[in-house]
Amino acid sequence: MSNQKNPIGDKDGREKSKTSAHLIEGGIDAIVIGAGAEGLAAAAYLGKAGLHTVLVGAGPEIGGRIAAREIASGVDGVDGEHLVTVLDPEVIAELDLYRHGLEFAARRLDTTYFFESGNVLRFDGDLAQAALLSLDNDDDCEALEAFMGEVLEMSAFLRPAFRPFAFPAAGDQQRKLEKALSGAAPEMAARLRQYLLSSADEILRNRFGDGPLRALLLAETAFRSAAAPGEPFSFLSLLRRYAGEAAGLQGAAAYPKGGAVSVIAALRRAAQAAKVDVRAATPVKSILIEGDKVGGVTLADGGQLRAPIVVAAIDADQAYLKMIGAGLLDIGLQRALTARKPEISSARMQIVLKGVAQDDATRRNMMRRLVYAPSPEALTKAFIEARAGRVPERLIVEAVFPTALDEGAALDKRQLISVMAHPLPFDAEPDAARREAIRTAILDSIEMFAAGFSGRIEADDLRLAADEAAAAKANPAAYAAKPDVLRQWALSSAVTGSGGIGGFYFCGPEAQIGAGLSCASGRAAARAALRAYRKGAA
Amino acid sequence: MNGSFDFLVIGDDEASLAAAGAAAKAGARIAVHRPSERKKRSPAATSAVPNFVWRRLDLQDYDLTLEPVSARVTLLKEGGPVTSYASARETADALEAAESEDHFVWRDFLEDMAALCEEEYLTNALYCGEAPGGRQFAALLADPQLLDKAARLFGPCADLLDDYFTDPRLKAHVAAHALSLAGSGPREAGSASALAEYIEADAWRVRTPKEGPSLRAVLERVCQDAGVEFTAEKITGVEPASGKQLTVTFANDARIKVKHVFFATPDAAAAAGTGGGAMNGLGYARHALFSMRFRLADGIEPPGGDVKALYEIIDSAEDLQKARDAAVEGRLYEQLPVEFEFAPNGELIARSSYMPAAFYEDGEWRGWTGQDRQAAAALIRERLSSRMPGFASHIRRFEAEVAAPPAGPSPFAGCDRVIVQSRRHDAIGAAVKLIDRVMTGDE
Amino acid sequence: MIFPAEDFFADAPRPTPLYAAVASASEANLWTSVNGWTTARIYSSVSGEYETAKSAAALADLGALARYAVRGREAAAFLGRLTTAPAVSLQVGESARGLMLDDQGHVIDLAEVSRLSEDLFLLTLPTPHARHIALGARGLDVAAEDISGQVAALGVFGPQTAGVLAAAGLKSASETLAASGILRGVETAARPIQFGAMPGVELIFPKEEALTIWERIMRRGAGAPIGLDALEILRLEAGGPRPGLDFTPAGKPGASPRTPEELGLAHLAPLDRGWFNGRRALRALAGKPRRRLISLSIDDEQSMAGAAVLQDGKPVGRITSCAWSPARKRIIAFADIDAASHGNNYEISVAGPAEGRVPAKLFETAESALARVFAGVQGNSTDFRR
Repeated sequence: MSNQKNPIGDKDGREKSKTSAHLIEGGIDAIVIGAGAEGLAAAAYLGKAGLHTVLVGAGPEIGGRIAAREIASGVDGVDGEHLVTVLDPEVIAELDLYRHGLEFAARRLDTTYFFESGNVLRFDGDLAQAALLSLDNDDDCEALEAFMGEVLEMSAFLRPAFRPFAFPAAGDQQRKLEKALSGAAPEMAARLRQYLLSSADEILRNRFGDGPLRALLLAETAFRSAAAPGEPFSFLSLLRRYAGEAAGLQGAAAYPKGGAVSVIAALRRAAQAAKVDVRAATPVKSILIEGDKVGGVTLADGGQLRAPIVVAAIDADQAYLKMIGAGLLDIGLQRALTARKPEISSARMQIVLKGVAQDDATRRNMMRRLVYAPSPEALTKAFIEARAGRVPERLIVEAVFPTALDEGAALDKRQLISVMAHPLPFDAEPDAARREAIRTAILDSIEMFAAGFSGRIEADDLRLAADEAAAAKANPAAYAAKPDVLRQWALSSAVTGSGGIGGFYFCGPEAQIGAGLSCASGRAAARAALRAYRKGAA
Repeated sequence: MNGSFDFLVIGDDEASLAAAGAAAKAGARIAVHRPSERKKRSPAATSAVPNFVWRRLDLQDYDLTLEPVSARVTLLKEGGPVTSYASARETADALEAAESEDHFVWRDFLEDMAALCEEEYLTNALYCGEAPGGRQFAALLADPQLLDKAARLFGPCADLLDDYFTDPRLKAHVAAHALSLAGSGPREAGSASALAEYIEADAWRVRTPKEGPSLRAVLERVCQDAGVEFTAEKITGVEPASGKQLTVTFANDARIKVKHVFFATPDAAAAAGTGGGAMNGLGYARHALFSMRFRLADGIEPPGGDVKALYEIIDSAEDLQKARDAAVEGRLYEQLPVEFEFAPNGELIARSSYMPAAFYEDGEWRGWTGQDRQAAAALIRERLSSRMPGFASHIRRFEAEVAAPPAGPSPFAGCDRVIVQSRRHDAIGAAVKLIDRVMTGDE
Repeated sequence: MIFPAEDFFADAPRPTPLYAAVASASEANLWTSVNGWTTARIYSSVSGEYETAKSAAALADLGALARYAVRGREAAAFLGRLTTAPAVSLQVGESARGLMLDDQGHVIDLAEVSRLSEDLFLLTLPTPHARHIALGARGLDVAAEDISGQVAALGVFGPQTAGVLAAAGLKSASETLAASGILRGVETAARPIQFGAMPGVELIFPKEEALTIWERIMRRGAGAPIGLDALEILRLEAGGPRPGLDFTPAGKPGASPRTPEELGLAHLAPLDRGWFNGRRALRALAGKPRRRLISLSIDDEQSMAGAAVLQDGKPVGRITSCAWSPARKRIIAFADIDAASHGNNYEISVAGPAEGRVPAKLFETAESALARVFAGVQGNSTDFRR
């Protein structure tokens, strides 16, 4: 740990640093480490508030794990998220992302669910309408309507609880949460307990028996979560998913024009408009702690940036254990970070298909989000297998067709299908055999609802958590599936507490509750930093 | 029996009787429903009687002696038995003698677990059904220390053990004794709470010596002295009478009104055919409890020869999770974890909670059949023989029974005034605390 | 260093390495259990042992305390993290007192750190904390080995300490530095320690040689053994709070956490020195004590642990530990009181036949003097002398 006190660089330092390393650069108000979505959002907020902000990213590209990449000749894919489900509406509004070029090609995707039994169900993109869809059974229809009403109400109610809120200075935020939650009606409070502690399987079994709706909602709950749906607290995952919104609609899914990479582009433009100094390929070696406050960062090339605010938008292992170091961390925070043992992850696969859709039904489905929902038994088994380190036979698969959703992405006589599959075993260093096994399992699961699909594959590209981590120069564990929401709350609360280091704020993946592209933690970190900054200035 | 009652307590095991007696002594009107076909049996070890229950029931006035189970022993596939004792020092010394580095942290581990269980809010939310209102929930989220405790208490048992210990045999031992009661797996969320709870003094089981009345007999007398009414008539119907009462109808056409139906243990609930009882600490119980009693010819001794200890048979720590997974998937598991003990009259009582609630075959679920019982009984005999060579030749007689969550509709379905305590190590204390809590809530 | 509270439930305590020796010296044959180790309460008479410590040199078996040998490249950083003692700035041979704090800045235990060589430290704690030590060592190049029970430890207190050591053949080169020597072929280390704030010397030697060394010191030196009861008086006079009695270590079941300031030990956790675990939380709590642990001298002759402390007729706290002080001819006590109470004067409510109230006064101990000086340096002097 090099935390020796260095003289503060003079104002000219910044100019010099562009030409030579090993210099101390001062005059900076805030440093943001990590050029992913959260880092860009945090930097944009800080810059917009008039702080001289420098954003440093380790990789050569801005965007972290979300990036465009040629996956087959002439076909550009987008790594990372393929849909927007939980993007913070406040971030869109406050950073004016629509003005900075964010546009949705499809704002509320309908979903078609395929079941092992061969059944098919379609859900409206507006979940509140879901129950109006024709189901064979009127009882099912009524049960679903009542259930979706309750769930959406509870998700909206719990929304403040799913936002990162634990920054130590945010006492008023906690009071707000308390106020919001204590306003619960008595029946809501009783339901809250059930929803908090219960497993998704238990709740859904009681509501829907053995029908397809149970399989459908189990798949939505378990998707991208490490919590098996039979385990306690797993139902919260569904509430978390439905608490998010896309393009102004709770629980919806949207496809941005150009894919998720265009969200990054809009954030980058917002950051640039806020005069943020964005520096790619500038890896940070350590975070300087002086007394109980942050002093700046040391760069890998030996240079030093000094600032009273440092926002870490990178994974917690890097930020706390590597850049700050165990020796300067409170013992409890270190234990919380090292006690994690990721077991489950999702995988992303982009597939180029030969030919175009022949029939209308297929063409209509290509404009939707397609989900394969294994039977509850198969799903239970899949979690058991994945946890034991084996590739399960049946997976939940979410598929979208960027080439159909986004006119600008259309290909000639080919289609791009983007797939997210879950649950898979987590490997920090997957070997070729494991990759092949995962690829086969994904394709097999797709075959379950699209027979003959494999024969039309021209090229495919598999992306595992370890690959995303390598692209973002992060610890692979940070991109594993997250455990049950209760443990996510605890970890989020621990990491956003910043170990009590003054001027240090954290908005890495561990700060966020649930999966998906959100920017809420970047916003929360920046706002906490600004509050402290203004208080200090006043 | 006619009239109206505050509670109908269903089941006449120790926890049910203690809860009924305590509530009756506090002035509640209590009826106890006994299962119709109770066989006369030698008692198995039961959870200890916590001091507060002893005082509430004035047990000093009854001729009751209890002796703690002498040790918890795990018989792994390889190596000698792993043993822990009620005394932390004795256990630490045993670990030291076995050259386990973990003896240094044993006491810290016990203290930390006790401190974890100390958080009233968490344990109430978890076990006693206290609904966290919005304010309490917000307070939980706002307190990083409380959240950290919650995450540890409600996380997987294996993570907690790995964080403290290095010795795989010790970890297997602790996990086996903590989890076998509820049939949960060490990698499951929520299993750590069973671990934290099992180290409490009141979770240490006690035996009734051969002479003297059994704990159950004494508790029955306490109930009778406190004016509790007993019935063994079959329950034919349960219907809401008004917003605050249920009408319970019996086979002899008697009917009573009760404010609450109370199950002190999930076994009692399962035996009464209510799915509401199929809770396992935190979630839906997806297993059955299979128990066997063996009358043995003289001359068989457990490894180590201690007939007052409680034994677990597992092959390795991973076995618990594998067995749990099998139960959840609906199949028997060959390396089944089995718990056994010797009753005061010399009978051997063996149990396993790692049995499927139902079997899943060819894409269909089906209930237990006679063949399944035979297969399960054979498996348990085999497991006992694997640790006690020649066991099979000592069996004079045995009986087996399975308590699976029922498949069909239950007379209690849809009644929200039915209260079921989850499976607890400290079953007696937990049942009394829960009935207290419900009584306070009524006022 | 200080003994923690005696064990609540003592199941067959183990003999300390010095047990065979001290047992032969015990006339009263009155024992107790501390951390599971047999410890003498009284050897001959409490007053006699107390007088020996005051006027000559008293020998105490310190085998019940927890001891760790800490080795490794980052040993100093580890101890600086784990305890508030300034391990990094210790010279070889130097010792320092400190506290072990949890992440919230609450006191887990007292600690004493001695640097024996560049990469080797001795850590002494009133009670063992294997778990906390293991957690603190994560991520650092360090190994902490529990050596309690492997070494015999003999504390020597009193004005003639140097004489005893010389008589035993140990030349103490300095009064502030640890030294090691060969005593009849046995490797022995002597280091200055503090029993609370009372200075003394601790001799450490292999347990196999416990009897030999003890015999030699007893024969050649002028010392006499001292038991826990007499040490308790010395402790109260010197003002050292006893873990488990005057406060419950944080993190233990039933603990009501206390900050260093609330225990009157703020000087052991200065915020302006190097980093230690819990310091950032402590900074937020500094200057805002909710409770105070004070030393009272009570105009009475009966001990009364647990008795209520009153001020202006209202209860403000309770006595946590007390003893008869032959020097003051009064009961001296620690009291845990509300931080809002003020001044030097209190009353103690006395139960029993002589029911009533007796006056009690704050008195300055070696420990509270250190706290006062420290508070003065910090510029936020408490109301100690107001």
